[in-house]
Amino acid sequence: MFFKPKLARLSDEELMQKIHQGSEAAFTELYTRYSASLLRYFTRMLWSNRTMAEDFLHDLFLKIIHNPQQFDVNRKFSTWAYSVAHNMCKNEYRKKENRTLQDNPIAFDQRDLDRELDLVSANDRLTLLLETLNEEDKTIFLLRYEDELSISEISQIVFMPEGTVKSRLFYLRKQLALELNQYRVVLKEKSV
Amino acid sequence: MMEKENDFEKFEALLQSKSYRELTPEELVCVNQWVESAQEYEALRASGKQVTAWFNASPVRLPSKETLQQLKESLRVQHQSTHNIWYKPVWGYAVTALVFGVLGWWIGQPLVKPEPVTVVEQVLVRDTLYIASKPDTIFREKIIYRDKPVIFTTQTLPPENKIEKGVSMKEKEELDKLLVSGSR
Repeated sequence: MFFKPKLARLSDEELMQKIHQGSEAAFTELYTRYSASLLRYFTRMLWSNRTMAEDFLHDLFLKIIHNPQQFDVNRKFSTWAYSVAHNMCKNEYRKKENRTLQDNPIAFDQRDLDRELDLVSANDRLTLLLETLNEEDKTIFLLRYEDELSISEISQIVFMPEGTVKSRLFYLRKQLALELNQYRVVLKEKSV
Repeated sequence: MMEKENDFEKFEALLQSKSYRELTPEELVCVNQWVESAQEYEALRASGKQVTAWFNASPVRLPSKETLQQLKESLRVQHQSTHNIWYKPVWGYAVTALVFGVLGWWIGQPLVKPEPVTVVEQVLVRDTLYIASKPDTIFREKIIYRDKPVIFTTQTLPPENKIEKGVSMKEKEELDKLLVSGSR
């Protein structure tokens, strides 16, 4: 408690410099700090696919190992790491979109999904609601309300002005409230 | 609009901490920039709580330890070339001390005079050869036989007047001839 290990006192950016020199201990420290939150982000973003999320996490840290020089020491590590993660997810969404268009050219009907959602539990509904969000909205939402990043950091991660991030967040919260209220109404109607 | 954007974080904080009834007039000004009614505010507040509860209810498990091991292995491979003794302080110091020790010993060594190097060179020497000229005078030995009168005496005669007898002219001439021919 009183004698914290030396590496634990170092900032993320200092750890990155040590990783650049090949320090395994620094890498372990950085991994311990961010692996859980990044894995959570990947899992939520990648349709709760745990295996895919672990692969993405592995790939992200491999990027850190192979190209540590890509990290700008003047930037905040967390912002940079989440930017990389966001881009990886973006690419995956594009790939999935292409695959969906090839496999099923008929447009996705949101209302059909909503009808199905009415029958599931509140938590499952939230999960499914998140699934319906586009990649950017989902990123903004998760980074703000799960990882609790600041608006400024989020705007740097998604390359968007802070004002836009705020507007989008408000809109998302409103949508969510609307959906959940509707869900309550459906439940009430069913109980009657 | 700019003010509204600046108040968003404050609005979010209020949603988390206070119900509509608990808001102060000053806070109400901020909140009313975003919502139109107390009902809307409460709906947002309830959905926010639900989201937080959902996040807590569905935690994502920690990544497997194998992932870290694999990544560490990759790091080891990546830095194999640079992961040498210079990155291990003890070894680094030891090697540095050894280098300085050897260097000091080498500097402290007495100077050894270099042995002269003998280089054998073939030098072309031009000598002068004197060839003797042919002698212009040849001396030849010539034996001259001359009769020498031998007088045998049996008795001692009384000394008589000795008549000096010289060389005749003829004899002198022959003698000169001989001398001249011998000088050639």
